[in-house]
Order: sequence, then structure tokens, then C-alpha cells
Amino acid sequence: MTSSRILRGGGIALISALSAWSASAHADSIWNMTRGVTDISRNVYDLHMLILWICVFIGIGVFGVMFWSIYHHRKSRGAEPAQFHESTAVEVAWTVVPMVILISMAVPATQVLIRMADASEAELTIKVTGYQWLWQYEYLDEDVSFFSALSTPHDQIYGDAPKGEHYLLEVDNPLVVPVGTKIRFVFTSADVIHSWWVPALGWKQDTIPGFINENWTLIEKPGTYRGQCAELCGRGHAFMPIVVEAVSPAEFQEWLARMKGQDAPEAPTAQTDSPALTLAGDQPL
Amino acid sequence: MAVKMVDSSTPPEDEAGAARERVARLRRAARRTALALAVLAGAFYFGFILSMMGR
Amino acid sequence: MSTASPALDHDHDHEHHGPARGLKRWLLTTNHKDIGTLYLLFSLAMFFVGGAMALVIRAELFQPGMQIVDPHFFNQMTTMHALIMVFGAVMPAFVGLANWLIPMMIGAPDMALPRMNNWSFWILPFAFTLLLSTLFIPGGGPAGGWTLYPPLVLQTGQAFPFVILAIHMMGVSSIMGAINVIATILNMRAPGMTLMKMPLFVWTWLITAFLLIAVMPVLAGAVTMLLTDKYFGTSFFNAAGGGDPVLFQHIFWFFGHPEVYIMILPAFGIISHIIPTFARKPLFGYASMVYATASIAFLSFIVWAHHMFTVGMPLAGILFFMYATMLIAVPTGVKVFNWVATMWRGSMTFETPMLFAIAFVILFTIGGFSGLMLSIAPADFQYHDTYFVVAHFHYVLVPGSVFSLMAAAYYWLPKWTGHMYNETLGKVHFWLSVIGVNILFFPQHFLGLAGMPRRIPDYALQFTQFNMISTVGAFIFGLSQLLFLYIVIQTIRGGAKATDQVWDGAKGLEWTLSSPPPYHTFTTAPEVK
Repeated sequence: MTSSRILRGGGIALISALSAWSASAHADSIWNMTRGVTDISRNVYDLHMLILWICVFIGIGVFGVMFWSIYHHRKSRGAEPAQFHESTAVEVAWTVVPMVILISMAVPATQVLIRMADASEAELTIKVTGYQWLWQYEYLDEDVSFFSALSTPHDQIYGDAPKGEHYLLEVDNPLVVPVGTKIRFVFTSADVIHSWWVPALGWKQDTIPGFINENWTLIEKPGTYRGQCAELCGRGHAFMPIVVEAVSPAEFQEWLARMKGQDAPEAPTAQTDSPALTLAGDQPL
Repeated sequence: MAVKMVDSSTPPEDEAGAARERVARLRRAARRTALALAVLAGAFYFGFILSMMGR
Repeated sequence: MSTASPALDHDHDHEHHGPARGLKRWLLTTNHKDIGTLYLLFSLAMFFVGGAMALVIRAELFQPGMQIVDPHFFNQMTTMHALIMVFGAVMPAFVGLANWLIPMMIGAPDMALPRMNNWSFWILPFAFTLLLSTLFIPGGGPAGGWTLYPPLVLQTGQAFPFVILAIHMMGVSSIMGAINVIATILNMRAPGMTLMKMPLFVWTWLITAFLLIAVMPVLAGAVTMLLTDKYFGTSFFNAAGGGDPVLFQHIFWFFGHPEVYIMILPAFGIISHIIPTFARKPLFGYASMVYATASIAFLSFIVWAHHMFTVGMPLAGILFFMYATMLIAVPTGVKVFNWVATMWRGSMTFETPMLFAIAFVILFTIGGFSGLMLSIAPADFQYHDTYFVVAHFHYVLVPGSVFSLMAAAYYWLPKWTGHMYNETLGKVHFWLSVIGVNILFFPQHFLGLAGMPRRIPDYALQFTQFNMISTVGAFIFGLSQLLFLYIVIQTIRGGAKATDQVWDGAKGLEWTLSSPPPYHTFTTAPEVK
């Protein structure tokens, strides 16, 4: 869809909204959360849809009653005001019923949460370090480590060149991981707080200087999954994307062997090459 | 809410004086309330920072 | 009612029968009506300043690429927009209403501490001048977000100590205002005005004031610790020195969550006045409204960490904060149900205040629904820090708090000025606002779900359409507020004479006074039966 079309026809937008919602299998909908490529991400998506529909039904009920009342109980239709103003039975009912609905949401949410918290028995551990404004990935036990920074050229950002397909969601060195493998991530930061977020994996996790966080994933489908920093981290916050390339275990081993042959990465001063920092940037931050 | 205004179109001086005295009395009580609340707010502030320093 | 004006006449023999003239009246005033007016005008001014910043943000986001401002300036705009709207527009507006209305609603002659009242207002213009001036300091104003998270906020340049001082000043002003409100309500009620007879606006403000006293000192403590971390070598939030950056977030949100209820509870009170008036039917469930407000206030102290589900809390912590947060839906739901039950079998008319009140109930409820979705921690791992959150809190703050303020302005303006506002223009303003606000914020739900983080000045191409729509809505909404300004000025300067009761369904002590009310009211207390 082009922007001009959307602006021209709100009606078209509305119709495609409804169709996009019903076609929930569509992975990269611009209308809804992605279903993602892991079991957890689909659980999260299902929870999201469950609550959404519960809210929609409650909303239809409450607003329905309200609009019925607005239409029928108006002075211009000669409505005479009733004078009732309290009812303990009604108050108890609309306290208890929402409680029951909440419990029905809390149960599945708790189950998913417990599963998400279990990062044990991972086969591979990757340490993610946030920098202003790039990421460092270290494959623990594998002696592989590299930096990953935005690769969108400066000209595209400032409108001097047409924007590419993956504008702002492309990096020089993507994170390569094997599919079908439980991967544990540990997160920390070298400066301020960042947040590592790939929607297709179903979660984000803050990277905090001086502290270690962990999370895990098990990607089922090979592909390229894009995300970006989700916690405000200064002027380059919009310019530190994440690209995850999920490949077969055999390809991954091959890639790993190739990477081991390379020299250790440069110190974090490598970030001076990042387009993010040179962005309009005579003003150091 | 049923409201009966005190008819004060020709207020006897003692009635107006009584009203003024009542307000003055209420204000004195209000100042005590305010002082207690200010002490509470100050206690929150300093108690909070001190407890963080003791961490 | 003609019985009200004698309250003034009878004051003729004594000092103060009317306001002083000129600038001195406003600088030195201790009159609750004058101070209320000052607060309301100040907040209106800040609403336009903060709104202008929002338009800078939306203009930059109209299309992908950096077009108008530098990313660093963009971050200053998001930070300042939030600080100004929260502390400069919404909170002072409610304090202004409290000043005007609480004494008139409880039959008191004035606020309990009139001189402190003057002081708590006059701090504000200085605080905000200081805050705004930081935009012109080398290195720019604060750019770390209004949440002031370290270590990022410690990268602020020379503006930093000025920002902290400005926040301290706002805090002092708020605490003094809150103390005044509590002292007034607890001590100055007319004979017969028992607590459970108080109008709901008074009740919600009483509870709000307690929240303010409990949490503003915490914010003050937190920013003081930031200051000592930066300049005096302490390490409260510095991991390298044994501190903890996440500790700040816990402290901030211990303040921050009650703060969001500080900005909505008085709105609940306002709506609970307006709907019964125009439904010509008493409020349904007065007592349950009071208890629901108190429950929400209590719960606000035990849910703060739902703002930080992604910082890496233990499972038990996440579960506790998730359950506690979900619970808030219960008392909030009770309130919405009570409003709908009040409308049920009423005899409704739809003047501008009622239109804003109905829009409030609907759109605030939508904001409540997205709040409920956000409370589900596993889903929040996706929603967190995206435009879904931006859409959520703007729905509860703009068509929530701000619409309630608009409703209050239209509802009580005839009482304050003695003139009716222009009903046609009021309705035009309402429809422009309600359409604009939805075009502005509804698409942001989709942006967040599709993966757009908040606080970014530039974005990937798939987010273009909704950002364009949102920006168009922002300009419709923003510009239509100029119409509100025009209507207010027009009403102050003249217009049809308002009756004392103004609205034929209006109940309460303030409507027994003349319109406009005399400078001093209830010098002799009314009797409430």
C-alpha cells in the first residue's frame, strides 16, 4: 500500500484492516502483532488475541448499553428521568463478574510466563552487549565475537538517496543462529540502558550496565528477522537495529568455523565508523 | 442537596462576628492539619533518602 | 438563587469587598477564585507550549528520514513535551479547578491557607521558565525522556542541575497545593456537610491530595540522588560504584504510577458531576464511587513495576505485579458501569460538557482496555516501549484527563464568568477534538503492534502510512484547540447572561451562588441538610 492511497481512501484502509485481522496467519501484518517464529512468540500472540477479543466483547456490551440509553433516554424524546440511584446487588455483580474474567486471563498468562522464565538446558549461549549505538555479540565457549551496526547509508537517512527496502533495519554483521536449537542470551550494556527486541522472537529484554539479564529462544523457521533497540538510549536510539539470520545447524557450524578463523574484533572504538554516530553529528554526545 | 442559606440580608452584628470567629477557629485547626502533613511529607523525603544511603 | 448575594453585601462593612486593581491583584491575591483563575490560565498556556512540541514531534515523524530536526533535539522535544504536559498543563489545571470549586462546593469562605495558596501558584511560572530555558543552554535541554532514567539522563549537559531544580520547584508547589486541599476539606466544611455528603469532585481531590503528599517527596528524593550521583560522587544508581540503575526505575515508578492516578482521579470526579446533571438523575452508586476511588488509590502503590517488566525481574515479582495491575480493572470498571447506570433511564440533553463527558467515558475505557492488555506480562514483553504504549497512555491522558478538563471548563465557565459560552462553537470544538484525537492516537496502536518503538525520530518504511495519518490527526487536534482558546476569551468578555443554576439539572452548593459568584462567598456558612 502506498501512503497516498491510504490518505485518499480511509474506507479502503478500514476494509483492509478487517481483512488483515481475519487473516491472522499473515506474519508481517502492519495491523497486528507478529505471530513470530517460535513457540513462545505464538503463545504470546494467542494471549494478545484472547485479551483483545475479551476487551472487544466487553466494549461492545458496555458501549452498546450506553448508546441504547443515549438514543432512547433523551429529553428530546420525552424521556422522564427515573430517580433510582443505588443497588448493592448490581454493584456486587459488576465487581464479581470482572474478577472472574480477570482470573480467566491470568491463568493462561501465568502458564506462558512460567515457560518463558525457564532458560535452562540451552545448547548455545550468546552474550549481547549494548553500546551507544551498536550491538556486540559474543558466542560464549566458541570464541567468536563481533560488532553489529546500522548499515543504512547516511544519504538515505537525509533524503539524498532513495530509501532501500530494509531502511534502518539492516546491519553490517547480522547475528547468525541455528534453527531448532535452544539458545540462551545473556544481556548487558557498556554505557546506558538499551533493550534488545526482535518481534518475531516474542520478547524484548533490557541490557543494563553492570547487570546481566537472560532470556532464551528456539527458532523454528530459517529466515531473517529484524528488530531494533527499544529503550531510549540517546541520539542514535533509532539507529541501532538488530538483524537475526536463522540458518540450519549445518550452515551455522560452517559459519562458526569461518568466523573462528578471523581475528578478534576491534575494541568498541569501532563504533566511530557507525553511520549512527556521524549522523548529523558534529555534536558529540 | 437541601440547602438553607442563613438569611443575612440585614445581619445582626453578632451573627457576622460569630461567622468570622468560626472561620478563624477552623483556620487554626487547618493550620495544625497542614503542619502535620508538611512534617509527613518531609519525613517521607528525608526518611527515603536516608534509607537509600543505608543500603 | 437570590439568597446568595447577601453574603457579599454583608461584607461591605468590613475590609476587602472586592479585588484590588491591576497587576497587584494577581501577584498578591489570596482569593481562591483568583488563584484558581491563575492556575487555569497558566495550564492553558502550558498546554499550548507542550502541544507545539508535540507538533514538532509529529511533523518530524510525518515521513521516514530526518527532515526537520536533529535526533538530539527530537529527544529534547519528547522529554520536554511530557514534563510540560504532566507538570505544567494537566496537574495545574486540576489544582485550578480545586481552588475554584472546593470552597464553593463545601461551603467554605476560601481555602484554609490562602497565603500558602498564593505561593504554591507563583512558584510555577518560575519553575517552568527555568525548565524551558534549558532548551537554550549549550548542549540543550534534558533529552533522556521524562522518566529520567540513569545512566542516560546523566549524559545531559549543563542543563541538568536546572532541570532538577525545576522539578523540585514543581514538587514543592504540588505538595503545598495538596496540603492546602486536605486542610481545607477536613476543616472548612459547612455545618452538616459530612464526608459522605461531599460532592465527588471533592472526594476525588481529597484522595488525590493524599497521593501527592505520599509520592512527590519520593520523586524529589530520586532526583536529588541523581544530582548527587552526577556532581558529588555518590553511586546510588551507578553499577560501577555498587549502585543499581534499576533501583531508580523502581523509585521513579513508585512515584510515577500514583502520579498517573493523580492526573485521572479528579477527572473521575468531574465526570461524576456532569453526567448526573445532563441525565437529570442522581449519580448511581455514590458510595461505591467513593470506595472505588479509594481502592484505585491504594492499588496505585503496589503496581509500579508493571512499567518495567523487561528489566529482568524474578518470575515471582512479575507475577505479583501482573496480578495487582489486573485488579485495577475492577474498581475502574465499577466507575464506568456506574456512569452508564446513571445515564440509564435519565432524561439526557447533549450540551458541550455532556458531549465531552460521554467521549471521556468511551475513550477512557478504550485506554483502560489497552491498559488491561498491557498488564498481561507475557504480552507486555512485546508491547513494552512501543507505540502501543504511547497510544494507551495518550488515550487515558488526552481524551481522558484533558477531555474532562474541557468538559469542566464548559460546565463551570458560565458559573465563573456569568456568561454562557457559544454553544455552537463549543460543539464544533468538541467534534473537531474528538475526531482529531482518534485520527491522532488510534493508528498508534497498530504502529506499536507492528513493531515501532517509541521515542524514535526516524523509522522503517512499513510504518509510514500510520505515521502520516497520525500526524494529520495531530494537526487537526492541535489547531482545533485554538478554537477553545477563542471560545474561552469570548465567554470571559461577554455573552448571554447565565442563570444562577446555569444547567437545569445541576445540584450542589456552587449553583446556589450567583453567576458570577461574588468575590467572597460563604463568609457565613450555609447549612447543609
